Amino acid sequence: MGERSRAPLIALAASLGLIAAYVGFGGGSYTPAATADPCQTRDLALLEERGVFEGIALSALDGAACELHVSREELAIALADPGATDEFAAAHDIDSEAVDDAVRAGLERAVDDAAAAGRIDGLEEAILRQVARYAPVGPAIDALRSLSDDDSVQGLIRELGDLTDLRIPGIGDAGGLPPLEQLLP
Amino acid sequence: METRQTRATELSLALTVGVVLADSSIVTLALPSVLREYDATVFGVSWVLTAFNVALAALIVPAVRVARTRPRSGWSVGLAVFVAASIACAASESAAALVGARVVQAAGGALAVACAIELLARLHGTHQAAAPVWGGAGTIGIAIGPAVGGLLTQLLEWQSIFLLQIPLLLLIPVATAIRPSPAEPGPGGLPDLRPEVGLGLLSAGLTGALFLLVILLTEGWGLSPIAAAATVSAIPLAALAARWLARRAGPPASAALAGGIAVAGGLAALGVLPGASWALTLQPQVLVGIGLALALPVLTLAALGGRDPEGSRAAATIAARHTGIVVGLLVLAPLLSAQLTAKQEAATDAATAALLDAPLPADTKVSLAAALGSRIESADGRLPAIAPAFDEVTPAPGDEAAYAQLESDIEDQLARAATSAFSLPFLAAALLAALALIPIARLGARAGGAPWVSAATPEAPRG
Repeated sequence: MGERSRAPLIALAASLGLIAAYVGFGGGSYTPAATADPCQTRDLALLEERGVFEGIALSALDGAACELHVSREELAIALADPGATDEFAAAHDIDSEAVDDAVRAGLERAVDDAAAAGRIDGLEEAILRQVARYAPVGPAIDALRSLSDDDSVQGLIRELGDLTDLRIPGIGDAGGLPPLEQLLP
Repeated sequence: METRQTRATELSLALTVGVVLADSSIVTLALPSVLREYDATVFGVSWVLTAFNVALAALIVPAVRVARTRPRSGWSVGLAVFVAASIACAASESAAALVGARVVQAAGGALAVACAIELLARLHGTHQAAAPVWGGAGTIGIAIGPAVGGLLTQLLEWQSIFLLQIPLLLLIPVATAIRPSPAEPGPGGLPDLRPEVGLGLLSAGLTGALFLLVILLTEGWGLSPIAAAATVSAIPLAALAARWLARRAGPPASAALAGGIAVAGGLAALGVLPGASWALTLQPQVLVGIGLALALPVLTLAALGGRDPEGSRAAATIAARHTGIVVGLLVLAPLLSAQLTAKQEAATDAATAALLDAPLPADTKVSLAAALGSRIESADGRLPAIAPAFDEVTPAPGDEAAYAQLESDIEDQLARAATSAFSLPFLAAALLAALALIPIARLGARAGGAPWVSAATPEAPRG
């Protein structure tokens, strides 16, 4: 090694060595976790750790996000309140009805999956389908997510009873206490 | 023979250069406090830094005309204007007034530095002989500026940064005691600005090390200004410790090339940090510090060894360095801003995923989501502190471990977001520094017999 090239080569070796060491210890991938593809089936074991209805809510979010080509997380934030939903719709150049339609489609798919897996019975399936078709989307998702401590259809109806503007044709008017209770055995 | 008075004069002149040039970076850690106090925009506050460097770079070469004819009075007037403007900075009642005072401060500083350099050159006989004195003072000043500013901001208030400069007035009587000999005319020949181009590009890269790092440490990782100041002291300490290395690095051209490579390499390493720990920044900082010690003196002396009949090349090297800092700020600040926005969205998604998937009751998650949402909103585009949000919600008995794990997971995602947001700007800073290798290598290519090579050989200063 000549005298002229010695110092530059040492500096180069030290620089590359440090960069390689940092990359080797994960420097190139030290970034926030990427969000999962909502169109891919999520680990069922993860959903089964949740309450039945919370699992359905999470699965419905996946389905709706897949329909809208966004992440589950972005949609969850968008459904947090009507203002956020409007912002989300504007950002994606769609109207809020399209968001509702996607969530309903996702919820119906989640109900299909849960029924096929035997996680809900016929009555629960019937109620959930009505909710998927007619209930206000955001509050319905919240109601489903709030049931991890009370994994029963009674609990679901109690939560839905808080939705004062819930109107489910053929089942009744849910202003005040829900007539859904009439369906209970 | 070097007398005590000469040494005192030399120290006063070097102190002038060091303090004025430190002002180009000293408010870095104070900017968040300034932002809050004036309720200004980030862009507006960034001009507290940028305006000073623009004015200094623009005015220091014209100031040489005064320095050549009236260096003593120029030094006194420059110092007086600098100190008066510093007081105005401390007393300013708006961001606009602060920026205006900073421009005046830079104007006074440019005159004081140009005259100090001229007086040092007269004390030492030539600009080349004086360069190690003011060059070292300037490099240390720029490098320790953020640390000193951070220390003062946390211990006192950001205004104290400017008030602390009032004692510079005590140096003015020294000016009257100087009996400078006439300045030697600089060498003639063809103009060659490659050393200045190299200095400018290295300084643009150095902006990454100084400005990006302190912002990452304080705003990204939540370190206190004092802790951040201590951490970024690694660069000037390494630069000081490596001065002996410069004499053993072979020919000056090789030393400069090695220095440029080390600065670029250190900045690139900061762009691939494998974790959010201040300790991980030390090794890259040491590399940057060593690189500066190797490259800056050689490039400065290379400039002074070239054509300089007007004696303005020394000031031109300072103008080049501060132009580089401005270029670095103008390139890196928007890049950082865009990255912070993108990574904040990624962090929000990752935190939402962690929250949705956490094995906690839904009512706990909903309460946490609301608390976190308000924290994110009040963070006003910056990365939020989430611990207070977790303190607001009480987990159900038996859920404490899962709750703590969720907090840890979200903290980790935010740290990842903050760190990765700085990755691209650090790599861009590395690229700017790497571009300096082109003029440095071309200087090396013509090294045989070139005047700057002999000029760069260390020699004892004359008294």
